[in-house]
Order: sequence, then C-alpha cells, then structure tokens
Amino acid sequence: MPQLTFKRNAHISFFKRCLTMLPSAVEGYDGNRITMAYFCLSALDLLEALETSYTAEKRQEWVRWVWALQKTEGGFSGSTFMTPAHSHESEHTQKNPLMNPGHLPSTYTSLLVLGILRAPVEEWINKLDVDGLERLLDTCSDSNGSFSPIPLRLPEPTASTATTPPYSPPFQSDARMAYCAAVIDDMITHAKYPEFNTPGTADQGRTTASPKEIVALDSDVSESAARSSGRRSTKRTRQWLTACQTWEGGFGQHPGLEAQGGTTYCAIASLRLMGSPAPTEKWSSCIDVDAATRYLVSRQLGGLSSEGDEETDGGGGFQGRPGKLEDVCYSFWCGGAMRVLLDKAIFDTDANSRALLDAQSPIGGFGKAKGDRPDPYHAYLAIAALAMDENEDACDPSEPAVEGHGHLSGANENTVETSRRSVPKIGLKALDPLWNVSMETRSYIEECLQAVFQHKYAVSRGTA
Amino acid sequence: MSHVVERLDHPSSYKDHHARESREEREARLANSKTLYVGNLSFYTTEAQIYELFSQCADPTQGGGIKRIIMGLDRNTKTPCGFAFVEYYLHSEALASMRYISGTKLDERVIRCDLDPGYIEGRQFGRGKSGGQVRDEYREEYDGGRGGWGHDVLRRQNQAEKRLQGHYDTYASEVGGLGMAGADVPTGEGYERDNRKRGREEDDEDDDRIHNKFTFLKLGIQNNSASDSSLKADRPVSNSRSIPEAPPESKIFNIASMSDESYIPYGERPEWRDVEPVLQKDAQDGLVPIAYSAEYADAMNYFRAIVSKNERSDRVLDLTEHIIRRNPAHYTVWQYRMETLLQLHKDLQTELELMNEFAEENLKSYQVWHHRLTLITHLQPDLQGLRREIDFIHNSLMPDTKNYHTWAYLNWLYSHFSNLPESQGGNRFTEESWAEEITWCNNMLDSDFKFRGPSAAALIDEASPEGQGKIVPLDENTEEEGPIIGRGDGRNNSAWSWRWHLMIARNGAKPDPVVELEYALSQIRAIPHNASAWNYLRGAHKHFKIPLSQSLPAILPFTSIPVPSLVSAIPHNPPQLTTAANPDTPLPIPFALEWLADCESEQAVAGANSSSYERAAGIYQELAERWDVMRKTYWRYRQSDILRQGSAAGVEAVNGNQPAVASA
Repeated sequence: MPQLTFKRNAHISFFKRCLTMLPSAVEGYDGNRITMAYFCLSALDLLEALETSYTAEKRQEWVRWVWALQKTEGGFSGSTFMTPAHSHESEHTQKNPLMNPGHLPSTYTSLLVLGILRAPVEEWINKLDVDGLERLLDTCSDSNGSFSPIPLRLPEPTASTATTPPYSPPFQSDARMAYCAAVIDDMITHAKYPEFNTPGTADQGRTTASPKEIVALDSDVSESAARSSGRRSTKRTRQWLTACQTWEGGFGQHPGLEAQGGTTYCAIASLRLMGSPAPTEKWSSCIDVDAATRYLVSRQLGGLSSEGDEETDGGGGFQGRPGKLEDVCYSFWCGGAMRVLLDKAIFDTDANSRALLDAQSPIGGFGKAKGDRPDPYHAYLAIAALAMDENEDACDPSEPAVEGHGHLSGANENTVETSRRSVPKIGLKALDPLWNVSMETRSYIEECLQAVFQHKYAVSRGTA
Repeated sequence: MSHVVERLDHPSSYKDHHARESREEREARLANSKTLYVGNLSFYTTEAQIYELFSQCADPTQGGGIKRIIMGLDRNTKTPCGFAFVEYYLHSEALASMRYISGTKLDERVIRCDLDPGYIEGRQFGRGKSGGQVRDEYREEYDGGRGGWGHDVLRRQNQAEKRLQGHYDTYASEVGGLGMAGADVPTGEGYERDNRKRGREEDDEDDDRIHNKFTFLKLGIQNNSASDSSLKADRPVSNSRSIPEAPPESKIFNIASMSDESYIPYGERPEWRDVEPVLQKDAQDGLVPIAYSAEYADAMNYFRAIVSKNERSDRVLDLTEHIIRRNPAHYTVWQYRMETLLQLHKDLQTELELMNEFAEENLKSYQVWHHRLTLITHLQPDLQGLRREIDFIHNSLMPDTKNYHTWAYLNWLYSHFSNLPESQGGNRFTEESWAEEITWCNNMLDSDFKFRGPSAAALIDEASPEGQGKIVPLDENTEEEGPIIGRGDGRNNSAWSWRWHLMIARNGAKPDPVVELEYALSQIRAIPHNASAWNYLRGAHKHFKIPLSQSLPAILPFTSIPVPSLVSAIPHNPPQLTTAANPDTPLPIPFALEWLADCESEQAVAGANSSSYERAAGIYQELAERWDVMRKTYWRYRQSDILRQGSAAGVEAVNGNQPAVASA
C-alpha cells in the first residue's frame, strides 16, 4: 500500500534536526554549510514552518552568520571552516584571497538564505557588497563563456606575488556554475534596472525577458573589449550552454558530455534567465526545444514506458539518465526544467507526487529513493518538486504556452489535466522554478535588492 | 526436554576434506562459527538475493549483520556454481539462519545451510573436474537452475542474458550531488561513514586480497545507503560490480587503520611541536554546525595554522593527505596540497599513484578527479603515459560503468591532449589511438563482451608495469584467462554518448551516416526496448539531416502494424520486413510507434499527404491511451500540436498557398 499521507511534522523535525547539528559523518560537506542551510531553510519556508519553529532572535543570529561569510574580494564563501577564532590570526588567510575565496554556488545560496530568513532591508543596503558580486561573476567567468566555482584570477591584477595563474584547468566550470551565475546576475540586473520589471508577476517578466537582454547587449557592446577586460559575457555563456545540448536533447555538464537531468535543468534555466539573444527572438530560439522536451518527459519512469521490460513499482518518479534508477531529486530537476522550458508540466504530475510521497522516510525527509537514508539535498528537492506539482494550477492556469514554444494555441482541452488530482492537498507554498525558492521569498529578495540600488544611486547623486 | 525432532540448527555431516584437523578441533570451531555454507543454489542466484534473504536473520541491534558473502565460483569460468559462504558478525545469527532459512526456497530451489568452520582462501572455488561442484558431475539429468554436464555453453548464454537484464547501475552516481555546491552535496551515502573500518577488518586477510580483487563482492561491508538500495532481490547484482581492492602494499590500510584509539593528536607529535594550532571561529554556532570528530577538528586546527603562515613543506603534504582521506570533498585542502606539490617540485608521478588508490575509494568525488586532472596537466605524459592513464580509466569504469565523473575525465583527457598548442607539442594522439578507443567503446556496448582482469599467472609475475590492470580481450590467451571484471552492456547510455563523441562529434571524426544508422538499428534488433539505441538513431537522423522515413522499413516490424501499405510514410523503397523482431518481444515497441507517428508528421509537414496529419494524431493518441500511458499528457500535447498544424495547413491549401512548413 503506497504511502500517501504527507508527513509534514516529520519533515519539519527532520530539517530542524539538520539545522541543529549534523553528524560527524558529513564532515565532507564542511566547506558547503551554507548550501546545506539553504536546503533546510528553503524547505521550512515552503512548509510555512520557519516562523513557527524559530524565534526572531535565532533567525537574526543566523543572518549575522551568513553576512560573516561575505568576502572582501566579492561574494560569499561556503562556511567558516577557514575563519580563525582570533582576528589577529586571520592576517594571512585574508592576505591570500585564493584560500577560501568567494564561491559561486555558496554566493547563490547565501543570497537566497538571506531572503528566506528575511534579513532586514537596511542590512541589505548596509552590508551587501553588490560590486563584489559583480566582481565575483567577472572573475569566475572563463573566456569560453563558462563559469568556474571560484575566481580564476584576481579582480585587479597587481604586481603582488598573489597573481598566480589559475592553479588548475577549470574542470568544474560546468552548467551548474553557469546556473548559479545566471541567478546572481538576474538578481543584480533586475534590481539595477527596475523599470524593466513587470510588477507582481516577476516570473512572467522573465518570459518576455527582452528588456534585460538589451541591457546585457549594451554592456556587451564590444565582444573583444569584454574578453580583454575579463568581463563576463552573456553572449559567450549562451553559446557555451547551447553547445551543451546533446544528441539526446538534454544538456550535459560540459559540451560533449552525456546529457543528464540536473545539468539539463541548469542549462535551460540559465538560458531563460539570460533572456533573448535579440529583441525579436525568443529566449529559447538557440536550442532545440522539442528534443529537450522529449528528453525530459522520457525520464519519468513507469507504465509501458521507454524502459519497456524494466520492472517498476508503479513508477511516476524520474531518473537522471536513460537506464538509471529513480531518484527523487530528478523530480525537481526534470519537472522544474519542463516548467522553465514550456511554462507547464506536460508529465504525469499526479503519478510523480504519489511516487514522491511513497518515498518519504519514516523519520522525515527523503533519501535518494524509498528506503534510503534521508539527507537535506534529496529531502529539499523532493519537497520543492511536490510544491511545484501541487501549485501547478496556481503557477500556470490552463492558458496556452505563449512563449517558448508556439505550439498549443488551440485544441488543447485535453492537455491540462491538473484539475483532477488524486493526491491529497499537501499545503506547500508556490515555488519559483527559476530561482528555486518560494515565490514569496523571491519577491522579498527583489524588493531588498531594488532598495540597495536605489540607495546606491541616491548616494552617488548626492555626492556628485 | 529432549529433542523429539532433529534440532534445526544441527550441523550436518559435511566436512571440508581438504582441511587437516581433528574432529575435536573442528567441533570447537563450529561451536563458535559465524559462517554458513549455503548449498543447492541456482547458478543464477545473485549475491544480492542471498544478502536479502540472509539479512533477515541479521541482528544489527546486537552489533551483528552480514560481514561478507563469498560466492562459490567455478574454478575455470569464475562464474557462480551453486554454493556460497555467508559470514555474519555473530554466531547467534548463523544459528538463526540454520533454523529459519535452511530448507526454504530461493529462486525456486530448496537451499541448504550448514555451519561452517570458517572460510579460508581457496574454498570459493568448485572442486569438480569441470571447475564446478563435484555433485554436479555425478548428476546425469539436466537441472534447469544449475545446468548440467555438457550444458556449459547453454549455461553461459543464459547467464549472459540474465546479467544483461540485471545490469542496473546501483552505484547510481548521480553526478555526486548535482546540487549547487561546487564541491559535492551529500547524496544518501554521505551520512554513512567509515569506510576506514573496512580496511581494518580486512587487514588480516592479505593473502586473500589478490583473489578478492576480482572475485568477491563484499556486501557486508558496503553498508552505505547506496548499496542498501541495490540489495533488493529483484535487482540482481553481478559479480562484475565488485570493487577491486587496493593491492596489499597499498598505503591506505596503514593510514586507514588509524583508529580513534591509536590516533596521535598533532600537539603530541614532535614534528609539529613548533606550530600553534588555530582554532575555528564559532565552530559550533551558525547554520548547520557539524559535530566534528576530534581527529578532524585537530587536523583542521593545524591546517589553518599552516595556511596562516603559508607554509609549504613535507609535513604540509602529510597533513593535507590526512584531511582529504577523511574528507575527500575538501576543495580548499586539495588546492593547498596542489600548490604545495608544485612549489616543492615534488614528483607528481608519485602523487598520481596515490590518486590511483583514491579513485578506487572515491569514484564520486569531484575533487579526486579534479586533482588527478591537474596532475596530468602538469605531468604532460607522452603517448605511452597517456595509454597507461587511459587503461586506468577504463579499468576504473568496470565496477561503475556509468560513473559521470569517470566518463567526463576520459572525455577531458582525449580532448585536452589532442588539442594541445604547438608550443606544448600539439596533438599527442595518433589515428591508432582513436581506433583503439573506438574498439574499446564498441566492446562496452557489446552485451556479449567480457572484460577480463589479469590472469592469476600475470598477477604473480607482475614485475612489468604494463601488464598491470591491462584489459585482455576474451579471445587472447585462452590458456590462462583472467577473471571477468566487467561486461559490455548495450544499454549503457554513457558509452553511447562516448560513441557519439568518438564517431561524430570530436575534431577529426569522419562520420559515416550509414554506419551510424546501421549500428543503432543492429542494437535495436538485439534489445528492442533499448532507449539509448533509439535515441541514438533519432539523434543521428537529425544530425545528418536524413528523413526519419528512411529507417522506417527497418522499424516497422517493431510496430506490430501488419499491413505496411496502410502507412503513407514509407517512401519509394518497398518495406523490408526481413529484420523481424525476436518473437519473444512483446509488440509494439512504443519507440517504434513514436517513430512511425513522427514519420507521418514529417510527411504531412512536407505536404505529401494530408491524411498523414490524422494518422500521426491517431498514433499519438494510441500511445497516450494504451502504449505509454505514463506520458499521456505529452502524447496528447503532440497530438493536438499536429492537428493544429494540419488545420493551419488545410486553410492555407484552400487559399491556394504553399503548404505551411510549420516547425523549423
């Protein structure tokens, strides 16, 4: 008998346990504590349990901890594991910015955590180094358009000994990093040029995201100038991501590598965040949308399916690649990618929700699959996937997919079947599939960042 | 009370005739034995099924569990031959299994368990003349579960099929946490620790190790959740998945066996006396604090100290090795180690050898592969060195044939060293190198192919480094074949991607569309439900801009549509139904129906036949309602899309315009 009751309290307890203390078995993630925190806090946000679980003081204490991760060179690092207890000891580690530098994924999750914890807007104004964010994006960008997780060079090369060349080839400059960079860039750009925002419908603003693109092209006037100045370039990144699409229709981690559900999400979301290559084109005009759609829907397992003779227990969940087993995290990666690509979920959301509910750990949280030990990564992505499935109507009323595809402008009575859900109501907040955080939190972050730039401009006008 | 019936846990009269010991000694050993002999197994029963069954008598609350399972192997073929040893941690568990499992059925056979005085090296092999068990040689009738004398060929074939079906990638290396972290994000297995323990437990088994290297699957010690999920009886695990153990001289067992008790804090080590440890600020505050072990916290206090001094020395290398052994995801520590190696001009070849050992333990760590890649970049190996590296990578894939990191590294290796600037010597690879790689890739995709490790003889006189880890094709040295360490798999999507790269995408490839289409079709004929083969065929058609209808004659037999003349999409050439599907395959194959529908769409859009719109829409509907119900939303989406295109085209045709080409 499949489990269909959403174990809300058990999940809340699971994430609270993780926030209190992780066992020494996860020492391996010592460098990425902020990302663990993001998984737990964003889950509690979607569960509407953050305010009820923690006092305002506790949340403020955490906010202080996150601000302390900000680096003078730009961006945020992933944890305090290199922070000495006494400030005089930190002399050298501060002098050597290549040790524990700003880290692209940690910067992305730090900003989201500050939003989830509702860090006061004054703190965003006073503490956030937006120029540092820009610096981080620029110094992490590689000449081929990809992004490295940590800076490849110092922001302003000086004669000092610290100007060592990148110590290794940027093997980790993959689609995940491009995605983190694209979200940070999206946050900054929309706050910087608020006139391009469509108030209230932030996500739909992205659908027709040409205004931002004009900005990007403007700042990108001279391609060679950008290259030599070490600035990032939307154009190059778009080309690089486009080259990640494979014969299967999905996207690989690098150009030439096997497609995979997670990198497919990262690539598609990045492309959409970066907007159209030209005002008259759709954001998705550079990729094969039909092939990507086919790849994503084929990852759902079950029935008389693509796996044919493979036995599945009801199925409904997603695999990451053909021939692999079901893993709850791909319900987010594949389901999220489809929503970003088409603005609707053209897969069996009911079967997916049922598979996810059945995979719940008895002690709360989710592991990779039913029966596996829960961990924050799988637990959060499963909850995020459930939130998207549940709010499918709210996210996307049965209107045709205007952008992105051009298909389905009529004769689609059968296509949207979300009204007859056989899964009981779960009660999760709506999720923004682009930033991967609740819609509410996204709006809060946008407000704060706009305030940051308004303040910045006011100051610069005042001093001018 | 005396026993009216024979006690269920009474040991049988079987005894190991090769053992030289008295009856008393034997009984004393049996009285405490934790090992069971399990007999009358089907040759097709897998370790995973045995694990599943016997773990029912495991008692983890008392510190018990299955320590390991040793499959009885045919001495010659190294395939299961009907018996196994199950070793528990507790005597009571072995007794419980005697009581409750012996005499029950596994794979439709009544299995039999005996207490065993304990496994010793060599007993895993059958003692019959044929290499299998003696009892099979006295049996004259054919036994469906165990084959028979003279049925060897059949058995091998069945086994190959069985393994093919069961070829799941249970390591499920989902890109080590495609999460947002630059380093890895925990996957399920992150919580389980201490792989080190297993090193300790095996220390007393050095003698076994050469054989262990390829023949044993030590399930009992793989207690992480990734393996747990694989240990279901319906997901057979093949021998080929066993992880090659590190060789006996390997350093890992020395370091790894450094238990908490024997750990010497850095403060008590004379060579570190001059260093003042630097504690971490608010280590236990903030978000998601980690309950650091004393050993890790201690080492990190000294790491912060040396970083604050920017010290580069041998002891830095020791310290960083210590930390990354505990925590292979620690990118800052890896980076500091690499810089130190370079600044001290250390022999990077030695470091690479250390990494060989790391790779076996940490196939899913980004950092281990990243470090390796950096080393190779600096080492700049010649073609001979690259060959060794490629052999190593090929071997690393054997236990985990879809590991994304390993494939990414292989791809990088070829791309990097074939695109070196002229100043660094230019392209290192020859046409012959590429041809060799293509052969290897074809073997990876050949479900009948067996990869073999070095033969026993080769292992003994292993003086030549070239012989080490070299994969010997099956048909070479038939006299002394090495054990099977892996098998080809037509469903390995990673290998398909590599084929695409080698044959079509790489610089310098000379793709032949006919070869690629025919290759994919031949794989479809072998395994009609193979998603990868269908996707490859589709991808090749698109890449070479060949209409889908060109492959339709070969695909029709899989659609179960009896009269091809009903199909408008077949172009000029008459259908060739010679390539009929295996009669055992249930038809239709949804992929084939999709192909047919897409052909109709293709024809419709090209304006050849307006009824094609309806045919295509009809097949999409069939798929939605009957053949691929899970994707019904998608098929209806396709259906309404083609109908919309049809009505648009119809309107324009009335107006006398050109038929619309609806989608680019």
